Amino acid sequence: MIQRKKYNKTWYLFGLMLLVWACQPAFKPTPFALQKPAAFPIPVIPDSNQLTVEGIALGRKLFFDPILSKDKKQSCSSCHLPGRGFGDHRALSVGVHGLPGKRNALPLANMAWFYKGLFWDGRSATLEQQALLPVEDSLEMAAEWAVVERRLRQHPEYPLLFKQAFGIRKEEDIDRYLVAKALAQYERTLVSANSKFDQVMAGQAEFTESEARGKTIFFDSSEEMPQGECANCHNPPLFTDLRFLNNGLDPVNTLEDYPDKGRGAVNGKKYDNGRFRVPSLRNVARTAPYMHDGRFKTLEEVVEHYNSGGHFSENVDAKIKPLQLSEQDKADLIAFLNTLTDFDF
Amino acid sequence: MKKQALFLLLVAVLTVLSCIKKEDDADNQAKLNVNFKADYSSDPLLMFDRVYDYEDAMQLKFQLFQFYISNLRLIRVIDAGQTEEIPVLNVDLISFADVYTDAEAAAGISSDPISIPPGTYSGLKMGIGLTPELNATQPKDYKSGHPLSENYWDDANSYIYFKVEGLTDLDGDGELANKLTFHVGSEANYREMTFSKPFTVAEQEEVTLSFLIDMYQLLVDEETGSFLNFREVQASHSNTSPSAAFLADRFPKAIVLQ
Repeated sequence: MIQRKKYNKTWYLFGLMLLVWACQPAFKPTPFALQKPAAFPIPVIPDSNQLTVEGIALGRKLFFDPILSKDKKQSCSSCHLPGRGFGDHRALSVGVHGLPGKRNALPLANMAWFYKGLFWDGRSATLEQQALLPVEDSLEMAAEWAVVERRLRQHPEYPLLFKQAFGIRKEEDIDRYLVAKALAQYERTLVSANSKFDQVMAGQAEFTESEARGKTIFFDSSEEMPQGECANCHNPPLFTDLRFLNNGLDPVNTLEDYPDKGRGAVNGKKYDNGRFRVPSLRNVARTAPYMHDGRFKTLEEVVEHYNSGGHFSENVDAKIKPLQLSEQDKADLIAFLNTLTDFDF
Repeated sequence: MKKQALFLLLVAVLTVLSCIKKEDDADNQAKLNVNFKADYSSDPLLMFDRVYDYEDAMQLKFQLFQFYISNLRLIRVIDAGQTEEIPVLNVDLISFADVYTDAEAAAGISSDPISIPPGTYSGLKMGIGLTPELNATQPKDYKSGHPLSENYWDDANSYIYFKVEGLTDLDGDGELANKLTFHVGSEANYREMTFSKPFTVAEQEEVTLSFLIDMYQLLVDEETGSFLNFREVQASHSNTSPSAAFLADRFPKAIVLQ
């Protein structure tokens, strides 16, 4: 009889445990709803990395923490400065050894809408993949992920933050992929959509005469006015079509002569040599210097380049051609470009 | 003992039920693949890699060719002599931008496979460009990456229905250095087409509809001898220009369903 009672208790206990296990609430961090600017498409957030308050907070802390670099002196924010549209002021970003990188730091506005590859050459398909690379790049953070993972696991704060963000059970569960997920979540919240341009489009402000004329040139709005051909590629709301194009920066004899092959170095296609991501022009007045190698210090130099028609080669884009802009046209175009600055960003 | 067994059975059933996912019942559908290839006369149309002879001793190279298709409906035979239209594809952007090689041209550009009811069909209808309903929308209405999340032209309140970009040689020096950019949109330039193509497809079978568009036919009207004269016009950002209307009118003549 006593044995039977024990037997019964065991079965009840087993059943109760099974029920508790089956009914155990899944790990549920706080969902974060990204506010879509009115004119923007609906952002696609990957199912595997939905935005959460805890994930974004962790990503933000990691973004500004030099713990990800070899010498613990360089963070993501060293090259992606909030005050400069999340770009930096150098032609080429400088890494932990003081060596210049290969390219200019791209601003990080509206990354939730970038879906055609990241970096100037598009070598990473997603923000989650992109975030893995600078940490081990010898010209950037120059660290080893195994070392960074160990630092984070032994850190007094990070294990709890990772648990809150991703529901890890033990410190050893912290890895590079969760770091990348957190960084990607934070970067997707960097939304810039409150420039004067946006306010004018929403009927909340008015362009000056010069800005309005510049807008007409930018968008090729009038047959009677000079056409800047800008919006063919830098079209709103992102002010980029996200494509990879050659804008005629370098004089070359053949497509193999480009000092930086850009997209072509990634996919091995010669007609993509010298092609780079069309950057967004949002906050462009704050993100000098310009181009993939930061060769132009000012917007005046940029506009002069496009006005000249650039250097010819067989894959330079068909829209790059002499524009015949007057000094007034150029000044008006720059006045319009200045309206793309979002002072809240 | 019975109570214990029932209790355990209940727990087990609840556990299993909580894990079961509903599966889509797509077994009774057929699959439609839509493929587009592009030629220039009898040559494959390549971006950058090929020089094509054109009218008036001009030569051409292409850099971009893309167009929207919309409102694709299959014409289903439901009874003797009776048909119904089955909408199968609302919109897609067909872009040859990355077609650099003969192999890529031979593969063509395919839409995502579409589930269709099995049955007998006599053909299909399709628009080049966007229906007025679609053109009344804006990128903000779509998810990022959707074909209509880009190519919008605010000034014209229209998407750009098609783009042809490339190079030509106007002075005959052998260097194709003159830029060509034709971007055309607006409802006036939407063209509907009907194609006859009898086929029958059963459950779980696949059928592929292969379209061929001839760029030469798009640029040249051999019946009248008229053609897009690049010596006179190298660009069009206007939806109402003669070149825009010419290209829109040529599309139905340039596409065949193979």
